[in-house]
Amino acid sequence: MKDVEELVRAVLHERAADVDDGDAAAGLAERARRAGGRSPVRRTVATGVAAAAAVVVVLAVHLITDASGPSSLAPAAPGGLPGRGPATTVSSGWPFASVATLTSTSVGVTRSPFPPGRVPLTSQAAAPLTPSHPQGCRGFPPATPSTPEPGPDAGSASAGPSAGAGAASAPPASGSAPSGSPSATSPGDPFAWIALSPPPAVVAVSEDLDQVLDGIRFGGQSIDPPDGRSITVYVVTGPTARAAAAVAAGCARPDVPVRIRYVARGADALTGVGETLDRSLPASVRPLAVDDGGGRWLSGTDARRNRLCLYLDHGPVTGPMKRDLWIRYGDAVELWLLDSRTLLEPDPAWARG
Amino acid sequence: MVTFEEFVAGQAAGLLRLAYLLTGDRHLAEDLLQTAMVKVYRRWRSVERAVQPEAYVRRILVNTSITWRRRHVWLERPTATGSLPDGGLGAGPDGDPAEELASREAVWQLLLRLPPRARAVLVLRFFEDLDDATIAQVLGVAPSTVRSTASRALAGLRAELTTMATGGVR
Repeated sequence: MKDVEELVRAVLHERAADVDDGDAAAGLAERARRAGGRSPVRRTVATGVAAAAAVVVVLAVHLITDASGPSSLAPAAPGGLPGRGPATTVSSGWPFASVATLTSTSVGVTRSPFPPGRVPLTSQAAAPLTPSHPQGCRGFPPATPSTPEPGPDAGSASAGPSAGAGAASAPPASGSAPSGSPSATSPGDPFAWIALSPPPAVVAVSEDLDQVLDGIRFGGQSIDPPDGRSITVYVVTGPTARAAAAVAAGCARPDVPVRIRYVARGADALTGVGETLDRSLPASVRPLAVDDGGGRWLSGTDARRNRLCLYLDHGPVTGPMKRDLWIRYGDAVELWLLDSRTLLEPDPAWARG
Repeated sequence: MVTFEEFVAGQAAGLLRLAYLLTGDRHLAEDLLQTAMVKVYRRWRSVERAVQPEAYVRRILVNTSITWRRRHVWLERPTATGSLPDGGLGAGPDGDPAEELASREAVWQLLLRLPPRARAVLVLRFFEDLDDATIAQVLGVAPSTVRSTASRALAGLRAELTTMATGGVR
């Protein structure tokens, strides 16, 4: 027998030589810049500013509370004084919501107050994509909402017909503040939750987005596997341009920027914060070995592989594709939900087209 | 002074190969490399002043790969026996079963099963041709730990290959 050391050396060099590194450096520096932030110094400063601003907001809220209402330590007088009713009483969720709103616009390294497994979608210029805004992004005609089909563990899932429903069903233990905060449903609020699923519940499909995307299916789900990793799965189907536009702009409108805030449990940094989804795509968009004549899947994962984006550029979704997708990734525990026909069933209007 | 882009352009290919050997998967290797480069970019001011910035990056890459494994981020794990060469590990045409048994594919699969640090030690020693002291610096362990880790890993590989060669095909 050859000496094992020689074998190992030979095998390693042989395997390394098989690696096609022709495009290894292509775009890598730019992706690293994006993920790492344009300027670490600027990011640090922004973090400090955001933190200071958050403290100021909280203090201001408390000052207002103290000035306009009874002290939180003192018992409230029955009936109260005029002007000191519930309207001026700050609930426990309000300061939190204020801070959350503030930090949502700050730069990525700010520690997010959002619990893991939640994906708020911030639309800077669009109306919130919530049940209270059925017209979605500035009047896109809503499609017929489909009925979610429960997954294998639907008993524990918080699947709902809309993001708002998902938010409402989120138990307080897994982050009651965002789901219960006005930001989840109030008109005019910059937050719209597209995926709310407290661990270990898994499914929350945004039918609202289905509506506003005008025939392009868009599903979001957040999964918390036992190992503590959070995975967000987006499924977009439709013609390439429309799907890409949907991902990039959220409403199939390039003039409506959408930012995805992603919070991963145990993540060392909130790499994806503030980055639009389309900017993360070039990092690793890879065609899967699935092309059975019905369509072709593309997937993109972020740098830390805790966000998986799936796109179907054309054609209907078929069973074999779903199985192939399953096998391809091997993350059956995490991705079995992709087999949900709720997510992957072609939109009737799109199928006709 | 080299820029970050120039550094990446010069080092990416080699680092991708190293990442591939550490992960055993091309896509994971790309992700690992990008993750390492993000860390490098955040510390670029320190990295560019280093005497051997590539060694610093290699250290980040290797340790990131080990951390990934510890956190069980990689959910795609090699199967126990399914990927070993089909048809058993019988005697080769030259009558020397050991030569056939110690096929490179089998060795590669055995390497994939090693614990992350053990694989890193072997990769750094036999692919990067680093001495034990340098490997110890990369991994942040004592040189004696490197030696013992390598010894155990090689002994395990040798035992596996011997088992296969003597007919104990798994």
